[in-house]
Amino acid sequence: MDERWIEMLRSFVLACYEGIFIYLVLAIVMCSVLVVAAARTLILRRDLDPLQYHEMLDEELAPAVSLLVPMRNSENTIVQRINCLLGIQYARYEVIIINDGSEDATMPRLMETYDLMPIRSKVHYSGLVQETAQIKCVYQSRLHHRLIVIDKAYGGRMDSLNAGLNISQYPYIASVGPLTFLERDALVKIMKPVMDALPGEEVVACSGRVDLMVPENTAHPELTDNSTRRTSSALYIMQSIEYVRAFLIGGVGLVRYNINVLLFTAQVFGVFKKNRVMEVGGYKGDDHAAHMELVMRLQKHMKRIRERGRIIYIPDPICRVEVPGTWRQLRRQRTRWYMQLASSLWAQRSMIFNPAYGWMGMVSIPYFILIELLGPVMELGTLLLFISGIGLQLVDINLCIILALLLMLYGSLLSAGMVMFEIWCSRKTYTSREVTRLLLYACSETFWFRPLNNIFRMVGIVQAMGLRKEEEKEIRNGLK
Amino acid sequence: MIGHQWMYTKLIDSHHTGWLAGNTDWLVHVVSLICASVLILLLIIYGYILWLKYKSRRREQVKTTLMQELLAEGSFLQQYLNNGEIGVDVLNISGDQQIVLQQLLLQRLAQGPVEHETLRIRLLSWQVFGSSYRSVLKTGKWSERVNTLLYIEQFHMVELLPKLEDMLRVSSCTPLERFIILRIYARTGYFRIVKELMREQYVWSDSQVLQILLLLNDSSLTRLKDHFKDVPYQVQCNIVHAIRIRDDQTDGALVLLEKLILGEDSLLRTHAYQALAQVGRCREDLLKGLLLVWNESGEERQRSERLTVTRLMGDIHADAFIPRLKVMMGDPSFQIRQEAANSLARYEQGLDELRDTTVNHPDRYARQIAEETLERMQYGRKMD
Repeated sequence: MDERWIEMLRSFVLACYEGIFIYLVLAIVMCSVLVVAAARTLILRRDLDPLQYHEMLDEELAPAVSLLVPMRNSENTIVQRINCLLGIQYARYEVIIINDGSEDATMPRLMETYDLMPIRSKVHYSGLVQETAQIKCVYQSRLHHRLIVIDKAYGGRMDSLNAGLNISQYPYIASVGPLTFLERDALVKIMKPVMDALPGEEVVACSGRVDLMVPENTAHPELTDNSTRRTSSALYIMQSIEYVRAFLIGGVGLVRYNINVLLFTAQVFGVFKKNRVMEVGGYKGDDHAAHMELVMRLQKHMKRIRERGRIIYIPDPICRVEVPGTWRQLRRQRTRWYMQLASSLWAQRSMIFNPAYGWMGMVSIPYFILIELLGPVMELGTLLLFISGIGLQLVDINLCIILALLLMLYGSLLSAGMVMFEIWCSRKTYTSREVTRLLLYACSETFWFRPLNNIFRMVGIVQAMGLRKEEEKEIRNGLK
Repeated sequence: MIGHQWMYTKLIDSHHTGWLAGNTDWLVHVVSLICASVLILLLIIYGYILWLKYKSRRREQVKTTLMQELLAEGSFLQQYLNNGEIGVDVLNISGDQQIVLQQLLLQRLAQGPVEHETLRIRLLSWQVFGSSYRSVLKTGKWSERVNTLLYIEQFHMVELLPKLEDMLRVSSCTPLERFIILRIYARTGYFRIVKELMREQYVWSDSQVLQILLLLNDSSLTRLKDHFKDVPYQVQCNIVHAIRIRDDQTDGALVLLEKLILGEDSLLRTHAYQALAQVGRCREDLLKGLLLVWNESGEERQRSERLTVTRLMGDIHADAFIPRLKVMMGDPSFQIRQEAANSLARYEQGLDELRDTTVNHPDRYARQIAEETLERMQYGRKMD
């Protein structure tokens, strides 16, 4: 090869090294600051007695909530899930099950177990403008007055949530994910910030910490995390480390600075102010957009009408979620998440670096772009540069060592630090063996889990780009 | 070609070596040092956590044994709860024993014991925990102070009220602490609560104010109603809510609500209508009269007030409300249109009026909602 070209390639690689060096330093500083902020909040609150939640059990004080639970083909799990929801400790709530065109025995099972009676004549629709798939009938249980069942034609998860939203009677709605098991005191905890909102403040969305459900316990969701031994599956441990990291940085950390964080966890379980969701037109029919897009629209809307809408994230665990048990499931989940993230950010791109949207536009969204969206690209890029730098000997070996060390600091050491803090701060009991295992796995994160995870994420981003191109094509052809 | 030339000039001719290239030696040292320090710190934390685990495991064992002892038949606690005799050794317990006893007493209170047992628990808690609570309130960290206040509230430690009063005056007292202190005042019927609620300085949520008001005894609430004009606006609104929730049917409450309905403040008016609908059930004539007054001048009123009154017009029937409900069916708000149609449907002649609306109402939305309501009523009859 021409020497000039080699020189040019070397210069290019060097420029990439510099770019990634700056990115990693920035990311490490940003995450460390957020972790310290989160730590301050958690340390302050860690010893508070649960007695503080007692007033939430008063019927007159607790804001009423409608739980929206879309279901499809869940004949085997539906009764167990509904029983869990009906056992929640809260003064005023209703459970709205939306049967999204199930083709199995879900509906007969519900009819039989809960003695459902049709109540369509008494249903008041909230007047959501967006059309939903046809509602065949609305039922109420004769055994549990809180249980409402909507039987509708298939329309997807977001469509089901819109149908539930239209029928819900209470001022707050809570969407419950398909793999989510709520803690008994989930509503008590999540509604406390809503109750404590000062005059002039309005909590438009609220979510909280999500714990992982031990795979062996999925058949018994009523068991708490402490009542059973935790699994030693590597995939489960790595995911729990990942959740701790996301919880400390993206959740508590950002909220500590009053930055209205975009709720990743809202997908699992999130509470929204119903009238505001109605004002922004409900959920978008498109499943790719997800809750995050709704949160962004809500924030945009509140800015437009000049109201102070707050988005809150609570550090107490409110629910447990079933996590992928195999690499294949993990790949599917991560690809979907990143597709949703990219689609949501693209849909609300006008907010990016727009001072009109305050912290959301200037900090939260750029944070998500820089750390979450570009993270996989940058981390994989670092690995490629490291390998090419060593293999092709294009750059000084010291540069490769610096990048490798930074990558380890950003991936493994930061995660290990967060896990140690979580173990110290949490009310959960960990055995010494579990502590050691968590530390070792966290330290190994950079070498296997993060690269693999980043590949899955990249696939999601690429798919989102493909989707976008398809949409553009459709628009050009006049199909949309 | 031009692109190649540009790259050539930029990258090769300029001999781009990058700003990192010359600094790699010391950067490697710095980054390695940072990584090594973090790693060492992690190992220290790991060791510390393991040591904590060991310590807490031993402590838990001690606590479990203590709890078993206290729960055993014939233990001093059981004897005290049954006979009311406190032994000297009970008063001298400390550390983990105190924590275990506190936990047991709180559990017992949560189970709703009989009155004499509650009184015994309160007396015992004061004698055993009184002094330690006092010192925690003075020197403890924030979460400890908050927890102690919560325990004082549970145990109704009226003996500590003067101490709480001092605490309330200290500027470092946080809003949450102030709130719990006032809740203790309200729960124990302390006379200073009315004065405190009349202060403007507190910034609380509506639900916090309401919580305090719902805990007040009748005489304190009456005093607040008497001084209604002097209390902050937020407290005024919540007094009206409290009247509704407590179902306060006293003359004082009814007079106050009537005054508010005839007053200028829209929010207070709306709350007063809601409250009067609850507490003035036996005085339907009064409510009807007030609604008729509203009927004269209701068009410019705020949405929430229009909604409340529309709902009430369905609860309390009067022929004079029918034209107003028909007007409301053309309201810009969907919820009010729907509520007006529902209210109209509850009248004896409601069906005819709705039919008439579907044909003769000038507003398209009013015709639509009337049709929907009729359809629903028809469906309802079929189902029944």
